[in-house]
Amino acid sequence: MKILVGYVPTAEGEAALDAAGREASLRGASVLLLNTSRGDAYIDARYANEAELETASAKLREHGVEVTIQQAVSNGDVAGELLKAAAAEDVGLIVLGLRRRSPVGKLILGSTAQRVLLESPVPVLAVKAPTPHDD
Amino acid sequence: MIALGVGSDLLHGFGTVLDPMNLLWAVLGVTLGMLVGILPGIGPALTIALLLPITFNFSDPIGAFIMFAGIYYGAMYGGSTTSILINTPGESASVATAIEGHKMALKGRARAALATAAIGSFVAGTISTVLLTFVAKPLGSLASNFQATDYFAVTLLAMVAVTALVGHSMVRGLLSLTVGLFIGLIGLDSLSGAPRYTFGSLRLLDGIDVVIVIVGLFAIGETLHVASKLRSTPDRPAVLEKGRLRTGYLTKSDWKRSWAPWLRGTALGFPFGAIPSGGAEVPTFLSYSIERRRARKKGRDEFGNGAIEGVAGPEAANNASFSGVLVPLLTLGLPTSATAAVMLAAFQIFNVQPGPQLFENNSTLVWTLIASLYIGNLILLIMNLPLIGLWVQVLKVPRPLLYAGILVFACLGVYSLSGSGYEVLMALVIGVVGFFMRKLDFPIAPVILGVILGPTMEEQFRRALVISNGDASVFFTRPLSLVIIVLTVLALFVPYLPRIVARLRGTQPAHQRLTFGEDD
Amino acid sequence: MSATEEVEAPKAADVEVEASRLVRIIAAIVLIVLSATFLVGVFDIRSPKGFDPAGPRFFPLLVTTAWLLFSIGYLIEGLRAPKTAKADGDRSWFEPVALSALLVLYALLVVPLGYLIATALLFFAVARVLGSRQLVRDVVVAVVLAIVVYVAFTRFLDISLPEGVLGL
Repeated sequence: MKILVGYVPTAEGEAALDAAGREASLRGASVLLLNTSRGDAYIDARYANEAELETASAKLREHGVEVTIQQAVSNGDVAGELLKAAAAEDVGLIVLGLRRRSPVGKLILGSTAQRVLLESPVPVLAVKAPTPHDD
Repeated sequence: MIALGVGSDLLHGFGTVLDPMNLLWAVLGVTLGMLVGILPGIGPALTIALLLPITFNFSDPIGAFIMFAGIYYGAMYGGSTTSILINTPGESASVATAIEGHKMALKGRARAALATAAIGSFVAGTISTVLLTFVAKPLGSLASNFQATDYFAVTLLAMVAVTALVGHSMVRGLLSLTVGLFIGLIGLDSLSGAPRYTFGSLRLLDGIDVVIVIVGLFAIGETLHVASKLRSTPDRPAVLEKGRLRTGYLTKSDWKRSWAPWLRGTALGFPFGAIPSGGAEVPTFLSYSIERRRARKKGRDEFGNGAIEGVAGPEAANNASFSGVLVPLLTLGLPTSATAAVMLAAFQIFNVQPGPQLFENNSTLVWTLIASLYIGNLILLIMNLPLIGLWVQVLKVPRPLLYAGILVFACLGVYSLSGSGYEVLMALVIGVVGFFMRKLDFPIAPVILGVILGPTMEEQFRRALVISNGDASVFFTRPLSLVIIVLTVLALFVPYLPRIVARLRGTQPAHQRLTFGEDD
Repeated sequence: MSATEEVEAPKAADVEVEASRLVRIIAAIVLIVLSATFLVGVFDIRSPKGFDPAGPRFFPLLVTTAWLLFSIGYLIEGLRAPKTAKADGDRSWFEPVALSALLVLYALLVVPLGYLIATALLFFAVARVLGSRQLVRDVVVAVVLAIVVYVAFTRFLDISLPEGVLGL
């Protein structure tokens, strides 16, 4: 079995990473780390660079699990990219980081997490960043 | 004597610029220029063209020109920022910067690259503006001896030299130029009053406004071009160093390695800007290769790997060339780059005719403009280093919104020329032409120069013939005209120099053709 | 000349002729037809002195002739290009055509509808064509931008923009 973690180099991304590492070592699963950019802007801090990916996978290996890294530019559809990866591989659990948002902010921005929660065929674990600071 | 006169003129100019309202225009200009210029594919020429309508109803052209100087500096530095941070040079003058600058950014030295670019721009801008200050007026009085034949010859030289030096193919460059010249022909002939190529349309009698051509070719053409590539090839977003942007200014060794390239860049930029060679492309590339060669001689070959000299030199050359470009623009009314062509269009909107009489008739305006260059440089330095993180936010805006915004402003600019949708349609037609030119790798700058310089060239040509009673030999009997015409012919051969030299030496040429960047 | 020879080095890599050979040849033929038409059009220019160099016909004659010659040169360049030129690939035609259509609509509607409505619609439609998929955000940005531009230009910069049906 594999655990798919949607990773972004932010606090909630790190939280998701930790959760995925713990779950994977509990279940003896390997981790598929997916980092996606919407790809509609000229720059995107959520698209991890090599150093960040290296740190992330090292963190996972500390939990003693195997890591595969995937990066994708999603043409505006991050949720679809996650669901696609989940379907393509033998994924038993999706781990996501959630941003802390006010109800109004959520209304305006729409949510990747929401779509994954609604459409995922496998269980989804959603975690929040430990300290309550927004990015 | 001259120095004293210049001093008091300039002081007067500073007095005008330092008026709070004018300072506000300068700050606003730098801000807007930076915000628009930071977008990839959008250089200073387009930025000024897009922002022209803001000044349409200014009661006083001085405020407008102070703002244009600010916009130019902001847009130019915005281009460098994009080149360094995401390696998409907005115009050819930033291509050289992108090579080493982006490498530096990848190594976590983005801030140092941006700082050497900004400080180098300031140093070069200030020195070259001093040169402009002292050179402009004497050259202006020299130019007042120019006769119609000389004007014709020098206009021809400007068009041919830019076409020959910029772009990849001589045929395509010359085609662009003739299309521009043709657009310039449309409308009533200024000397005989005969309508030409108006196709029976009353709208075309006045000709096609150059602002429509610029906005159409650059803004709409570029947007259509980006749109055609948007779906299939989303750019991989370049990664920005986190947290590094606020720290890591120049170290002592950075200063030591930067100051000489700054000065050498200035020394290249100003004269190359002043002669008709297309503005900043040639000096920036020359500066890059000179710095690279010097580094190799010293045995320190960091080039290709993020050498700070490769950012410092070209950036200084880029900025210095603008003051150089202003020399023929102010003294002869001769634009030698796309940006200068837009500036000339702006002058004409305010009924100011650059040329030898400018210093007599609009002394306050000229000296205020020159003073605003000093101030603009300073504002750029003050505003950009601390606020760079803010400007970069623009690049995080999703591209659909960015380009929708650009189209809105493009339409606003052409609409407000006359207050009808007709101009928007005309700009769209020209924009479609610009789209195909990009697809087929035609240079854009020669079109703009053709549109702007064509009518002047024809007028001077015919005036010279009228004066000489139709004797065409006047162009060859006046020494100055003859020299310039010979230079024009030579300019056509410059791109083939490597091949010619190689053939003379009996060796294989290293490169088929000499090129300096793309158009802006 | 070695100093300038080196100049080309950084540039050579980003030379990219996007269009296939066929598109170039079609473009060359269009250019030839256009320039030939305009060359003939020189005779429609009213000129008391015929083709006198100081008259209004001489320059058009020169320009259109040069245009025609360079177009033929471009056709030859295209014909001699290798047949295996890089194909047009995955470039899309939908977006440029759709944007052009939107601009035509805008040109026709900006006066009757008024600047605010027409511009908000233009922004929204362009953003959608370019692939934006966040409905609420697109609408909000379109309306806010149109209002800001309208107010800034009519109230502060004294440039009149059409009021249209809103009559603001």
